[in-house]
Amino acid sequence: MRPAAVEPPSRREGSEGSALRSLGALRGPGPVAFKSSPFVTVPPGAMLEVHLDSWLRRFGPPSSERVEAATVAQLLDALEGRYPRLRYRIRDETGRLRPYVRVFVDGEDVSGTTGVDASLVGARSIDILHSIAGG
Amino acid sequence: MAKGTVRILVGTRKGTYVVVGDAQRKRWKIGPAAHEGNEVYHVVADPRHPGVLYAAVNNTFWGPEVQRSRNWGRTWQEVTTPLAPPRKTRKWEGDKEPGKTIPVANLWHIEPGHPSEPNTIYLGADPHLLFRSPDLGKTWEPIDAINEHPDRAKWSPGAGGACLHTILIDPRDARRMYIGLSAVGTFRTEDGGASWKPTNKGVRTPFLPGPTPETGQCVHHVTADAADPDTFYRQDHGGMYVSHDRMDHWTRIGKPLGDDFGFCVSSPASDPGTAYFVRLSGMARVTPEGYFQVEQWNDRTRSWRRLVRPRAFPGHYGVQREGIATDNLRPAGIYVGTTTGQLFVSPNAGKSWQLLPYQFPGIHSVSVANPAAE
Repeated sequence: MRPAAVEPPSRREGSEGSALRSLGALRGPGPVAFKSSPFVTVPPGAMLEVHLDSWLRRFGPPSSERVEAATVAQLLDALEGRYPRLRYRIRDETGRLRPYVRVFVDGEDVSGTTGVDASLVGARSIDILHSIAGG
Repeated sequence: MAKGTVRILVGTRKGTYVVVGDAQRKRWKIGPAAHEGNEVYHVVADPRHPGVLYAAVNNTFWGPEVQRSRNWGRTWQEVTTPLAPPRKTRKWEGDKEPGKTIPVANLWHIEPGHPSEPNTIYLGADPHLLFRSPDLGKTWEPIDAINEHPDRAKWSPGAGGACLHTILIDPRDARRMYIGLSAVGTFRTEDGGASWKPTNKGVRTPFLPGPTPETGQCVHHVTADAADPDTFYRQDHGGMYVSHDRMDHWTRIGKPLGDDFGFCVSSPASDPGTAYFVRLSGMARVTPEGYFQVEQWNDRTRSWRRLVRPRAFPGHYGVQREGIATDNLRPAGIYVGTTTGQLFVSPNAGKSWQLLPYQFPGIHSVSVANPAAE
């Protein structure tokens, strides 16, 4: 049996271009549409190498990506801005990392500690993976 | 002789499968399959738009998605997936941080709207959320009157989560709808969702202390009678029930069966006054006595009949809330999917049964795309 094809991103309906998946974001005050941290200044030249899980690469960059950011939240904002289909996959609509997502900053897992608030100042590489789970 | 193609739409722990058969329901072909590796809680055909299927796809890692196929499941694409709506009331059940948005955990049930509203679809999700899309899934509006119900702080999730799993629309009136929420019960609206009345009178709550409350019943699934839209059959945590008055009152019918626990129920279009239940052991949540069995309720004679010959299919089978479906042919086809991946088929209203020779992943849901929908 051959699995049915999943249509490529360009044929996906909805609001890919604007990255809006919810009515909360389309209408009303939309508190579900989380925002980046506006008070953190990105240090100039803090370019990071981001590596995504093979599953996430279907929705994001096909290989590693260079992103400028001072926190994990800012990094995800930037990535989602470039690749709208990544939105709500790594973080849920409250802005938190999904429970089975692991973010490594220079090899250190920050998912269970500082999470999206983890500082990237001085960091060089980020890995975003899914955790070992399921069965 | 009936003509056309019957499609069994199977949502599993590892993806969606479409099983294609002839109208005699003797020859079956497996495929296409999709959503590999994803938990698919429900797959449904939209009879208003032949060829269109919707799937409630829940990825353990990357969250839920509403997916749609326009070609009977050969290819799929994500339509818009609703997000948790803005919170308006202070306290919800299970609140760890009162007032903070609780993200949508899983999508449970997709219901195509009334034929008079061909672009409307409904979606039930965890945590106890109901959404309506007026444009076939492009945008979603949360139905506040249920999502922000004043009693919400008293609700609680069931073992499967805080799922809103049953959505039924009166075929005579698009504004009259019924919903079922795990560990909360059933509700009816007469005004298109602007207000909801709990409809659980007569349904026992052996798991709660004190007198039977207005809500708190753990409904597992409800189906409407095909000929009488005021009649409903209900599989509840507290047993099997029938209502003849739009769910205002429920009568327990399962008592003669002994343990009348279970999760699923279906009533065939071609045989009004009939409902099929899969009885499970209340303790073990598998078919009792060590064999696959289906019970037929005859609402005209108010009697039960066991359909499957004892020990025809030995084993202890689990069947979930969307695990049984019936087609609209005569005699009715009955389809039962198990949590261990067996798909049982009866082409003749339960007279004979076949176990399809294909091992699926654990089955969450079974539904049927009828030949008339082509």
